[in-house]
Amino acid sequence: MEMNLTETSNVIVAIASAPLLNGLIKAAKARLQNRRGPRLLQGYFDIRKWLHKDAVVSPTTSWIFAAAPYVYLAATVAATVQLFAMDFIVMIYLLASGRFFLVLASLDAGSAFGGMGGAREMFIAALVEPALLLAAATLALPAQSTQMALLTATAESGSIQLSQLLAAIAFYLVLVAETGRIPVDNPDTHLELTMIHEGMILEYSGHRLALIHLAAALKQLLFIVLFCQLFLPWGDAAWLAVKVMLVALLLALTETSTNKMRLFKVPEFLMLSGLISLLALLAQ
Amino acid sequence: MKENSRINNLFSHLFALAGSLAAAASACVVYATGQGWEIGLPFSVWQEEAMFRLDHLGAFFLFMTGVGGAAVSLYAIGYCRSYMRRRLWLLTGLYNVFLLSLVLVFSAQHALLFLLAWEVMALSSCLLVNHEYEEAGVSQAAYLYFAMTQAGTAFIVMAFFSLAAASGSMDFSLLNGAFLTEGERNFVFLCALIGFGAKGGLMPLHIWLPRAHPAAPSHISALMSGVMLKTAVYGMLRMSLQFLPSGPLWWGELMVAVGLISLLLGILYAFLEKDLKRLLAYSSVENVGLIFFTIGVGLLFSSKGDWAAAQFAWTAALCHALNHSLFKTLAFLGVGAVYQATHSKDADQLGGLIKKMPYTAVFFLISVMALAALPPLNGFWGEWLIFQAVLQLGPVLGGMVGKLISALLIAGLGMAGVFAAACFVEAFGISFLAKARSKGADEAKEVALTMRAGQGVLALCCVGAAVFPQFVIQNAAAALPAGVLVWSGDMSLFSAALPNGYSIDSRWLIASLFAGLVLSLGLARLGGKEKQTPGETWTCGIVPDRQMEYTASGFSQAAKRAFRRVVHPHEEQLINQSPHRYHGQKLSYEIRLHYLFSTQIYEPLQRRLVEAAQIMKQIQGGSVQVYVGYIFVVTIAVLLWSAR
Repeated sequence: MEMNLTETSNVIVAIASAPLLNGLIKAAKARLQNRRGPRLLQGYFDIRKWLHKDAVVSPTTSWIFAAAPYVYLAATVAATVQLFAMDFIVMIYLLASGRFFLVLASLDAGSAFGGMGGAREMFIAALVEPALLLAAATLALPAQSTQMALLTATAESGSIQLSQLLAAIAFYLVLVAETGRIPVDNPDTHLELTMIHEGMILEYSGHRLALIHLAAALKQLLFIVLFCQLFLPWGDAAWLAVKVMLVALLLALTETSTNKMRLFKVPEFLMLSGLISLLALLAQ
Repeated sequence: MKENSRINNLFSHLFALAGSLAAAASACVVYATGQGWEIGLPFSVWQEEAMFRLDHLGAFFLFMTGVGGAAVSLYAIGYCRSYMRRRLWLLTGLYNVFLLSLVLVFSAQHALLFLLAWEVMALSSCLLVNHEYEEAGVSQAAYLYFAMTQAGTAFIVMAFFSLAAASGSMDFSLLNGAFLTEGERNFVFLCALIGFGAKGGLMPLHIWLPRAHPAAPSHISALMSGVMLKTAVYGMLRMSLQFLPSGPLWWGELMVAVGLISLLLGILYAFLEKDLKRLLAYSSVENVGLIFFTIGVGLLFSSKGDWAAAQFAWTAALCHALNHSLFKTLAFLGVGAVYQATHSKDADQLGGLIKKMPYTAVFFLISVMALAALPPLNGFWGEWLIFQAVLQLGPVLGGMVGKLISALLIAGLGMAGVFAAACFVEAFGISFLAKARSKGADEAKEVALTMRAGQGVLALCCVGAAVFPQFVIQNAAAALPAGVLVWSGDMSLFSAALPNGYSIDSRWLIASLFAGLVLSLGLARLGGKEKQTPGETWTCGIVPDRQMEYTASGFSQAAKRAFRRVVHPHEEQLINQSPHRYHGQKLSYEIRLHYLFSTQIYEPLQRRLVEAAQIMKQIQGGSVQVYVGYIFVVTIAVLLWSAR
């Protein structure tokens, strides 16, 4: 239960490298689409820019709007701590707390864009969560625990089996939905027909926008690391970096080769993930 | 008369407050000394002394009654001012009777006394639901509640008297199912499940709950939902742990199934609801479903002989019951405050209250976060324990089936959890944030000091139970009757019951959240001081108005569509053409949901009853001669029968 120095430094490295990972995905995507794309470090430059900008705040908003980015980042950081040291369920629910505040903030300015983004975010979350827990159950049931260390140990103990492979596919589908990528959400647009995450944060500017973008990038990194630890459990820390990059490339490839699907197709997409998880359980 | 009612209001609620504190204190004494209390009554039943006795299980629930009752009584001093000219004497009197009956239910250790207290509780709460009978729908709600609670009581009476007849005693310590045959034991269990399930609002016996809770005055609904529903949990635990230990597997399966249905459908209906009190009522259906589900998981363990895991599951159920009594009472008090300030419970008519009622907003936010089981608040810890308990089901049930059931139950719990979060984002976000959508919400003012104090006490309790969840968990484990399993005193239960479990610790969670907060504040500092310019909300360049805000109906639209097979939404759009050709058209939107059990069970039942009555009506012609004829025919028939 105690946090030692390595775990603390893991968390710090994760926070520091989250914007880089986002840059990596963007660069890979641009290459795949024959574009030049932004610089690898653009995420850091963006955050610095927002930190130095002034903010425009709607007078309709309340302290919830002001506090939400801080709570969102704090909850995501706390979830990262859980990822390296503690409990899977606590991690999922910490991320849910962050989401709760972000959705509240999306309603606070009183515009239809925010409400639409928030409503869609909660709708997708309600479908993602069961699929995510089913995928995790393929490891949690043999481990008889939701403790991260035991989950990883269970993953390591088996060689690549059919069950683990199926669970990995199921988890990857969840990962795409959770990180807000095509085909579920489009991270790059502000069009009201496609956006979910971007719709929620439309009213933000300045410091708070920087915090939200950092938290979203951290959440994305967290899910990718979780995927690597649970389903590609070999190798040491240096290998982890390589695996994370590979998953990032896979995400870029997925984004380039698929279309954004309609919102009401998302339930079917996630149902597929759940069914694969059940197959994984049957294959154990 | 006005002066008198002020004194009445103050004193009756202060007495209720003192009584509640005494109840909580006596529960604490039981836990501190480890010894029960006994009070004998000067009469006997079946040559047995009638006894009020407080044991650990009773004291656990009595503590809830005490804390909830104290906060509600404090709140009621301010809230009941609006009842000054509306039969306040009746309201305060019945309130005290109701509170006392709750105390007696948890402390009676004698079947007859328990049933008497149970009836007093049912009748006083029924009259309280009926208090505002001038309002539309209130009498019907009270009548439905009356019918359901009396039907439930009939089953409870059958269960207790079957037990008492077999064991020859009415004292709880001697009441035991060991004297019954297998079939009789099943009968008693089913009667108890129906009776207590009706009281707790378990689906499909829940139909009274979403009507009675909104009809009652808010402080009464707080007490009904926060404490009264727990009498069902208490009764079911007494029955299945003490009187009928180690039942067959299907008892557990039945309870898990019923609990799961209430859990999932309850929260779905709550999410689609925009009347705040009815939303909270459906959420109570969900939570009672979750508690019964967890008791059922415990029964599954115990029927397989795994007592350590069973004890773990029941501890989780009790934890969730205590936490629910804290945050659900708080949530109802918050909605009551909103109702008093705005005269509306419809989320779509509210909005912007966070600036007008800052205290109530904070308290309500705490309650909804706890209701959505978000860490670090107390609702989360109960949920975590339940997850751990379900995770153990796999190996205990054994085989592939056990694994699949366990995984599916985990997924179901997770889904209900996110729906709860969505539901309470909607409840808080639509009614407290953005701009006011009606005149009432625009003119709202913060409520009286006592009302804020009542909410504040409960909010503090929620935060306290979140920072020190081990107190709740330890005492919940200690509440289980000795002889089933003994709690070792520290957190080591988890290592005993969970093969790979570990103790639960909230300090790390709170510390990591705090570290994250410090980090984000520091990061925001990095860029220097930020100038904030006010600027209207972005709506593509036009001036935003309240018409553009998202409503509760809009917020749950996607879920309505995705679950249309279950709720069959019936939507209607009415466009009223106004004189302006291009703008100013009035558009109203109405949606009706299909409540599965109402249309599948209750409505057909009602139709059959009316049909039967129509047939019976044929013989009632209204003519005296015909009635004399009936009497004549019957007399002849009886004479012939007896002369046979």
